[in-house]
Formats: sequence, structure tokens, C-alpha cells
Amino acid sequence: MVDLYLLRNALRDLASAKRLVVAAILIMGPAFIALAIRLGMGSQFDGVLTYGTLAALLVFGFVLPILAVVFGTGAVSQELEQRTMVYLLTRPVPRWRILLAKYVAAWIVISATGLLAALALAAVTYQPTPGSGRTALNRRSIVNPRKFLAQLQTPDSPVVDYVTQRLSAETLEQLSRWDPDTPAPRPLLRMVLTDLNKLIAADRRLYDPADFPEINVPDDARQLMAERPRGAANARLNRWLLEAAFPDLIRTNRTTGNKLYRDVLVLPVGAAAYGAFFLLLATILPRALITGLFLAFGWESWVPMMPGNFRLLSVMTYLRALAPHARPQTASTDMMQIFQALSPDTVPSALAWIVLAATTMAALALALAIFSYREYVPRDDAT
Amino acid sequence: MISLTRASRWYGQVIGINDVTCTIQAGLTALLGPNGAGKSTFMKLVTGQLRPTTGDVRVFNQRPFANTHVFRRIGYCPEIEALYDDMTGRSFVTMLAAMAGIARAKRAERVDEVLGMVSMSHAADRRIGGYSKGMRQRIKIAQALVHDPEIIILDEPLNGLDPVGRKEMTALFLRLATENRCVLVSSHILYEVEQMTRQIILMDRGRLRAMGDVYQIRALIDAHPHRVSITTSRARDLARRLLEFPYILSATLDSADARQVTIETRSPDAFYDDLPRIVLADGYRVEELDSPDNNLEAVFRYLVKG
Repeated sequence: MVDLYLLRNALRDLASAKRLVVAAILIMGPAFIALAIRLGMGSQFDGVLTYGTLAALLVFGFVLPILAVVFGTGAVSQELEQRTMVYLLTRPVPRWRILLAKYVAAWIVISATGLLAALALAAVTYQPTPGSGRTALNRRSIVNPRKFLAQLQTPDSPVVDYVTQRLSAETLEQLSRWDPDTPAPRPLLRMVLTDLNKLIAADRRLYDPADFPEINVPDDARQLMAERPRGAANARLNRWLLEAAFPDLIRTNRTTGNKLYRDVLVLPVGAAAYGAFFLLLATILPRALITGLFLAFGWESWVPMMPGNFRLLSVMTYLRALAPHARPQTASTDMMQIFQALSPDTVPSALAWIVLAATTMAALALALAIFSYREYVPRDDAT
Repeated sequence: MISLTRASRWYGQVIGINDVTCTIQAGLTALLGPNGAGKSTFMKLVTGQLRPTTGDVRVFNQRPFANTHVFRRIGYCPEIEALYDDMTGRSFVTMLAAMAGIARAKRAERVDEVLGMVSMSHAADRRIGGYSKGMRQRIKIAQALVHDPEIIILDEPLNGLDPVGRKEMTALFLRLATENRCVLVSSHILYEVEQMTRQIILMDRGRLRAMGDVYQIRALIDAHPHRVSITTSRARDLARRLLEFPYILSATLDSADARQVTIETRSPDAFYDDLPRIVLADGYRVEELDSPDNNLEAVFRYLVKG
């Protein structure tokens, strides 16, 4: 009962008008950007890729950390700065319970806001995807059949050459007879797709991306690869590897729905970990918001991209492992791609779950212990 | 109920309180001292928000820091003005009543009762943000009393109250003190304390300068004899008569008012015992009797500056 009062008080404290405005902007921000992209690109708009990109960069990369900083530190800092904490700290309620209620309140607010941001983004980027979710290719999976067959006929990259060599002799024979200046014949396309579907369904990896450094393998495929998938999961990986080998020619089978489902699961986990971490910061530092912002947008932005094991010191590394997103493949190499190339390995999801749970529990336990032990009286108020 | 044994509290190089030893029992005690004397540190130590740097602080014979057993029996009204401005007075007091462990069935009734005690029933359902300074003070006092504590610690509780409010709250504190509770009130305004109690703890620059009844404290200060002014038509005659007593150190006639004589004595008790007898025997008509040294201001001035 007391805990309910504490939780209600903590929620009320977090829901100040200023913070609600910040939350509303954060919820609508990614969706507005997606809407602008959608209107700008017209028929070229790819909802799944746009969702993946904005979910990774904005929802996980910006909205979640900033919410965690604002509400995680705010759970304690506001009452300490305004000095109203004294009313709670002189009541016969153990201090750890007061802080735990504040943590739960912060977690609820961070999770709810993050989820609403993801849902708004998903709603704006939603479009019915051809062959949604299926690993097998069909005619509608191919964006431009003539160009697709032409590439197979005269491969312009090592990976396409590699895939072509694994088609059946009969298909290759038919392919060689086809005049690329004529429209793609349906029977030939069907033969090619049947062969490729066999390669997808085979219980072995279509190719090893390490052999083809020019290939830009999306985060989610990279993550799936780290899980050493079998059966249906391996087929999904092969499909994504095939999509990576033929950028712009094979439509992705990813759907916003299944990405959203994963994000909805992982966002509250991220809220729990970040929330506990920034709460800990607020129990130690007088101006935790500033330090928190520095950590969220300095450390958490750059460390996950660092080579070697250094990136394991970031919460974001593990969140990306649990909710990987496919981002558009660009011809130009930017800094992120260079960093990604330096650290191609991903963290297995089992390890990510364990590390996030351990981080959350350790940060929370430490925060509760410090809060129970420390004095929270400003010096100027003390004499 | 409360005891400090050689308790000191430092904030880095800054003194909060220094080597304070005292015990406080039931009744109304005023913690008196100028700003920065260490009153709030004293109260924060007693209410378990701070630990002493050295020495020991005990409340109900337990260390109070973050001690829920102590908090159950102690009520605290802080000096700070900050409150939860978007809550109503009633919901604020109710929340803290719940946290203090008052059962749900009795809570609303007790909250009503305590809001009545501080005369806030009429404004209890308004937002605290819209309260006047005096109303905020009253609601702060209400939350300190809601769980019926045995020790009530009030840090400058009369700040912001109008004269009527001061009178009401002073009467409330006195009533609470007569119910065998320990009521500790801090103040830097002497006349406020004079209206409330004679039991004081006097602090200055972190040190406990004096403790006990104002009158007794005054009597202890040998360096500053007790002064009494008597106004009578035969002032010169009375002065001569009083100088016959060995405990009268001096008798001075007021240069501005020839009817007033001021005596100095180191034995005020003996003087007050003898004075009525002299007045009756010799037929003096005393118009006014005033002891400026009984005034807290004087005690305070002597002790702090002496």
C-alpha cells in the first residue's frame, strides 16, 4: 500500500509539464522524420528499411538514452534539488523502498515513451510488403527481373559470381542462351528462383561474408550469423545474405511487424538497464543530468563502434545484439561503416541477455545501497 | 528522549555543530540561536538525516540516521519552503500519513483531525501551489503531527505566519507539550520563544552556549549581575533601603526618569523573596517592576557575546 503511494508520488513527480513536452517530442520526432522521408520518396519509399534505420538511430540511439537520462536521473535529482526528499526520508519507510518505487516509476515512463515512439514510427512506415516474412523468393521478390538475370549472366561482383556458380547446370544453360536485350522470360526466372530457393533452404550458409569484403551485411543478418542458426533461422539468414548480394534487386522479406515485435520486447529491457544506470548516477553525483547526457551521447554512441572488446563496455552493444536493425546500404563509406568493418563480430544474444540483466541488477543494487547509506542534505541548508 | 554526547558535525572545513552534549526530555524546548548557529544541523542529526562526524546522537536510545523505528515516533517540520505544489494539502498529508504507517481505515479521519488542528480544513482540497506562505507552514506542521509522534521537531515553524497564526500555532505546540510529548522548536526570533517556553537550548557558531530555564541560565552568569528596574514615587528612598542588603551590588537612579531605580544583584531569588516584604513594610507604591535580564534577548546577548 505504502509502495503504491510511493509509486504514485514518483510518477506524479516525473510527469511535470516540462518533461511531458520532452516526452511528446521524443514520441513524435522519429515518426515525423519518417513521414517526411515517405512523402519525399513517394513510390521509392521502403517502409521496412526506413523503420529499421530510424528505430536503430533514433528510437534506440537517441530516444531511449535521452529518456533514460531525463527520467532516470530525474527520479531522484528533482526531489533532491527541490529538497522535498526530506519529507520522504524522515518517514518510517526504508530508503531502498523509496528509491525502488522511483526506479519503477522511471522504468514505466521510459518504457512507455520509448514504446510509443516505436509504435508511432511503425505506423508511419507501415506498408504491405510483398511476400512479407517469407524466406522463399517468388516473382514479386525481384525488383527488376531483366536486370537481375543479366547480373547472373555476367556477374559484376565476386559474390554474384559465387552464387551463379551454384545454380544448376540446366539453369546456367538456359541463362547463357538468353539475350539480355529481350524481356526476362518467365520460365527462366522460375528456374533461377527455384534454384535460389533450394540454396536458401539448404541447411548451410549461402556464403561467408568474410570472403566478400565488398558486401555490406546488415546488422540483423550479422547478428543472426553470430547465433549459428539452423533450419528456418538459417534459411532466413540465407535470404538476407542473398538480398545483400543483390542490393536493390531483391526486395527484403523483412516486415515492420516482426521488427517492431522485437523492439517492443527489447525497449523495456533497455529502459531497465539505462534507468538503473542513470539512477545510480543520480544517487552519486549532484548534477547527474549533465554527466548522464555526456555518457548517453558520448560513451554510448561511440563505444559500441569501437574495435575489439572495448565496445563490450557499452549497454548499447548488447541492445543492438538483441534488437538488430537492417539499415540501407549506401555506396559511400561513412565513419560508421569504417568502424563496423573494424569490429564485424556481434555479441551472441544469450550473452546480451545475461549482461543486460546483470548490469541492471548491479546498478540498481548499488544505487539502493548508496541511497540507504548516503546523506542527502545540501550544505547551504544544513546550518 | 533525545541525547547528544559530544556530538560534532563538520561539512568539510565548515562547522555545523561542535562538541554538543545535551539531553532533551518531554515538554517544549526552544532551540535558539542566530542564523548559522547550527540549529538546523542539530535538528537534522536528531531527525536522522545526518550522522555526527564525531560523538553520538541518540533518540529513544537509538541512532536515528535512516532509522525507521525512530521515524515512526518522530515528526519533523523542515525549514525549507519546498512542497509538492501540484498536490492538494489533503493528498500531501494523506500520502505522508500512509508512509508513516497509519492504517487505511483510520487515515482519512486522522488527516481531517490534524488539518483541523492547524486550521487548514477549509483549504485542504486546494493545490499547495496556490497556498500563502502561512498556509504552507501550517500544512508542513500538519504532516509532522499526522502520525501522532512522541517527539516533534519543528524548524522555524512560525516563519511566514501572521500574528494570529503565530498565536494559534504557539498554543498548539504548548498543548502538544503538555501531552507528555517532546516538542523541540527552533527559532532565531527571541520574542517568539519567550511566548512559548522558558526551556531553551542556546546555540552559537555550532556550540551549545547554554541550556535550561532562561531564568536559571541567567542566574548562572556571574559576570553579568541580574538587573531589576522598579518604578515608584520614592525611588531614591527605595534605593537606599535596598542597598542595606548584602546581595545588592548597586542601585542606580535613572537620569531620565527620577521615579525609576535599577538594582543589580547576583542573587535574584533572594531579592525577589525580600522585595514584597520591603514594599509592604515601608509602604512603597510600586508602579512598575521590570527585569530586563529576564528578557531572552538579554540572556542571549550575554551568552553569545560574553
